[in-house]
Amino acid sequence: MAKLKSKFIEENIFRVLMWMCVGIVLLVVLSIVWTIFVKGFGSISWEMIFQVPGQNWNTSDDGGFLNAILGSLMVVAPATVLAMFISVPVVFYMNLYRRRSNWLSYLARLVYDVLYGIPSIVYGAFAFMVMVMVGMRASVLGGIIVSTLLIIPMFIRSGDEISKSVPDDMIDAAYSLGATKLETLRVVLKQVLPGMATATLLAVGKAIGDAAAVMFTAGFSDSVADSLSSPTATLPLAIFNWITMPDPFPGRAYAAALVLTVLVLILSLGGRWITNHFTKNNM
Amino acid sequence: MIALALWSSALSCSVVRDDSEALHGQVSVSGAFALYPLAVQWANDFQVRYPDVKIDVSAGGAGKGMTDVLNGMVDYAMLSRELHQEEADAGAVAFVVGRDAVIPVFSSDNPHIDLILKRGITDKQARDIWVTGKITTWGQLLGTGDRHKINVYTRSDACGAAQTFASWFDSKQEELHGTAVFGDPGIAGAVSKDKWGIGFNNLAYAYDAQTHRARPGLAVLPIDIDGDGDIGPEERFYDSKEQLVNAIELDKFPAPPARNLYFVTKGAPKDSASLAFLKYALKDGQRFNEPAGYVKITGKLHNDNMKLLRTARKSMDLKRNTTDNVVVVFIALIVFVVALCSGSVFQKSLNKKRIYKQNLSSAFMFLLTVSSVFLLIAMIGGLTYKSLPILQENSFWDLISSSEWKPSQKKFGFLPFITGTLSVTLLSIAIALPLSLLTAVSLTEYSKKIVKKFVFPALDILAALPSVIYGVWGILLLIPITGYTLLTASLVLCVMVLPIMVSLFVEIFSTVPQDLRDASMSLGATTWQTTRRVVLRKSLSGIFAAVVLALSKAMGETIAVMMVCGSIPAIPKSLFKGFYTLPALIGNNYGEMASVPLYESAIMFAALILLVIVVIFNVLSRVILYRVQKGE
Repeated sequence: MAKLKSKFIEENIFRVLMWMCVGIVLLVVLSIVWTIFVKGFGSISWEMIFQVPGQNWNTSDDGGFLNAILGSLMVVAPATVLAMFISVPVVFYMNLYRRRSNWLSYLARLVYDVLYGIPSIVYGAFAFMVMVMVGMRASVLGGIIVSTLLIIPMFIRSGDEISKSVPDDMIDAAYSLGATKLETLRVVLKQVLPGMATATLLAVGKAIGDAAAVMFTAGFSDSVADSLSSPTATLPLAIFNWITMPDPFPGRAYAAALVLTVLVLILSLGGRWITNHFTKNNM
Repeated sequence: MIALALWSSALSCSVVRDDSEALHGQVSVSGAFALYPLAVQWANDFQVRYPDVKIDVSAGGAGKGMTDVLNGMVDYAMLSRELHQEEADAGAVAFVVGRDAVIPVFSSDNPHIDLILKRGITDKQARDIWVTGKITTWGQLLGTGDRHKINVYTRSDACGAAQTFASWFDSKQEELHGTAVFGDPGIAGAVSKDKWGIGFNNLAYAYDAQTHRARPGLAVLPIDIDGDGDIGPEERFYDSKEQLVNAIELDKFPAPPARNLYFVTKGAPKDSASLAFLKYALKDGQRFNEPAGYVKITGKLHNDNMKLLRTARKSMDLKRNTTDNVVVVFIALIVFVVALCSGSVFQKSLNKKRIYKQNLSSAFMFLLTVSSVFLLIAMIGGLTYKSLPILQENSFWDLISSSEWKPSQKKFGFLPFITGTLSVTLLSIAIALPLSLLTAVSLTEYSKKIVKKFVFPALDILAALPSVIYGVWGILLLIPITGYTLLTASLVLCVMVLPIMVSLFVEIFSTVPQDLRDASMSLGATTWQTTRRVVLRKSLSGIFAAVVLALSKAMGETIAVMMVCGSIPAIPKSLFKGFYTLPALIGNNYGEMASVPLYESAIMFAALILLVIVVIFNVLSRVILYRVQKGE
C-alpha cells in the first residue's frame, strides 16, 4: 500500500515540477517581449524609423536610423536570394538525384549540419580573412557574402526535412512516364514550395538578427550605402554599439531593438502561418 | 575566374580619373572613438564645400582603424595613441590633427563628491586602483573610513584611450583591472549609472557637447599633479571643457594622459579627394577643434605636419581597394551561370535539349553539394594557416595551458578564455537541461491542447529572437540584479538554448513507439513512471546528442555573451565574477591585430580552437541523432 502511495506522490511532485518549468519558460518569454516592447515604445518615434542620422546625431535627437534598417535589408535580401539559388539545388540533389541513403547524401547532410553549427563569429573571422587577402574593404557585398554562407546551411537543413515528406511513389510515377530527373523536379517543387517559403522566412529572420557575422564584414556608417562596395550599418550591430553609449544612444538602441524584434517576429510568425495554412489544405 | 578577375581589374585601371574638375570621389575614415565627433564635423563641413565627395566616417576603435588603413581598406585611420614601430614599418604615416586628454571620471551621485573634487587623484593612487589593487575602498582613496568598494571600470576593447590612460602611471592596458565595458561611451554610461563607480573617458565624451560641462551623471576627477593631497588653484581647470582645453594647450595638464590625435595614412594620400580632405583637416578644419573640445594644432606641430605631407611618398606596396573588382567578378559569375543554363537553346532536337538540361543540372548540383565539403576544409585550413605564426612562437600546450594574456609582451595564454567558455556553457546547459527536459515531457506525455497552444508559439518566439535582443534583455533586466558576471551570462545563454533543446527533445520523444507506453501503462505504471522508465530510457542516446548539440551552439554564442560577460581575462573563480569567452575575444579584439602581428594570429587561433571543438561536437551528436531518427 505504501508503495502504491509513493508512486502517486512521485507522480504529483513531478507534475508540479513540470508545470513550474512550463510556467518559467512562458514567464521568460513574456519578460523578454515585455522588456523590449515597453523600453522600445518608450523611446521610438516616427523620425527614428524614417530618417537617416542628421548633422547633430551624436549629441541630440536629430534624424533616425533608417540607414541601419535599410542596411540590414540590403545585406539580407540579396543574401537570401543567392542562398536560395545555391541551396535548393543541393536539397534536390541529396533527395532526388541521389537516393536519400546514398553515401554522398549522408556526407553532404553531415557536413551541412556541421556548417549549420559553426558559430557566426567564425564565419565572420574567416570571411574577413579572405576579404583582406583579396583586398576588399568592409562593404555591403562583404555582408552579403557572409550572410549567404550563414543562410545556406539553415536553408538546406529545413529543405531536407521538407522534401522527406514527398512520397517516393510520386517520384517513381514521374520517372515511369519518361521524365528526366530535372523534369521530375518540377513535380516535387510544387509539393515543397510552401514549406520552402516558410524555411526562407525563418532563415531571413535568423540572418537579419545576426550581428557577429557582419561585425567585420559590413562595416558601420551613418549614411545609406549607395553601392555594393560602400560600408553600411546594420540593425543588430547598431543595437550592440549603442546600448552601452551615454544618452541619447540607449534610447535609439531600445527603439532599434523593437524594430528588429517586430521584423523578426513578423517573419517567423509569417512562416508558421504559411505552414499551417498549407497543411490544412493538404491533409 | 582568374581571367575574369584580371580583365575586370584592367578595366578599372584604364578609367582615367578626372582631377582637374571639381573634386569627386569617396573618402573613408575609420578608427578611434576619441576623434569620431570631430571627424564627423569635418566631414559634414567638407561635403558642403565639395558636394561630389562622399566621406564615410566610422568609429570602431583605434586598432580597427589601423588594421583597415594598413590593409588599404580605408583612406585614413583615426588614431588616439602613438604609432607603434611595427605600424610605421608597414608604411603608416601619422598627421597630428588635434590634441585631447583621457581623464578619470566618477559618478556625480557619489556622496563624497565634494571631498573627491577637493583632493583629486595622483598617478600613484590611480595605479593602486587600476593595477595593483592596493586601494579597494573609497575610504582608502580619500583618507576616510568609508568602507564602500570602488567599482572600477575599464575598456574591454583594445583602444588608445586605455593605453594612454595606463601610460600615465607607467602601465599597459592589459594590466588594468576592473569591469571591462565596450567602447568609450560605454564607460561613460556605466559610471554614470553606478554611484560607487570610477572610470576614464576621452575629454569629448566626459563633457557634454552642448553645455560644455561634465555629462549628466558624470563628474571629472581632478588630477593632483604635485601630489600634496589637495587641488590647488593652479590645478583647478575642470569646470568646463574650455578651461581644460586651455590647460592642455598650455601644458598645465600632464601628458600623458593628454595626447596627440592622428590621422594615419599608408604612404601618401591616394587621390586628390582624400588629399584635399587631409589638407582641410590640418588647416581650415582646425576651427572646429576648440568648440568640439579638442586642442587646435598650431606652430611647430603644424609645420611638422606639412613637412610630413611633402615627404610622404606614395607607398609602392599599397594594396588597392579591389572591392569594385570583386563586385564585377561577382556579377559576372552570376551572368555566366545564367548563360550556361540558357545553352539548351542551341540544341536542336527536343530530346537532346532535355538531356543537355539534365546533365547540366546534374553536374551543377553535384558541384554545389561537394563544395560544402570544400568550404569546411577551406575554413579549417585557412584558420590553421593564419595561426601558424603563433604556433611557431609558442608551443600548442603553452598556449592553451597558460593563463597570462599580455599581447604586448607576446604572452598569449588562452586558459582564461577556454575555462570561461567552458564554464559558462556547462552552467547554462546545467540550468537548461532539467527545464527543457520537463517542458518537453509535459508537451509530449501530458499533452494538453491548451498548453501546447501557448508553449509552442512561445518557443518559436524564443528561437526566432536574435542574440543581440537577448543581450539587451540581459542588460536591462538581469545586469541591475546580478551585474556583469558568470551567472548573468549563464542565464542569458540558458534561455537561448532552451528552444533548441526542447524542440530536439520533443522530436526524440516522439520517435519512442506508442506501444511501449501503452504496455507500461497497462501494467499499472503512472504517467511519470512510464516517462522515466520507458520514454527517457529509450531516448537516452538522443538526449545525449541533443545536449552535445546545444553545448556547441552555446559555445559559439558571441554577441549576447559579449554584452554581459564583463570581459575580464581571468579564470572565473565564482559565479559572481566577470569572465571572458573565446568568441568574445574574437569580437572585441579583432580590430587590434595590426599593431602586434602575432595578435592576429592569436585571434585566428582562438577561432580555430572554437571551430575544431564545434565540428567535433557536431559530428558526434549528428551521427547519434541520425541513428535515433532511423531507428523509429
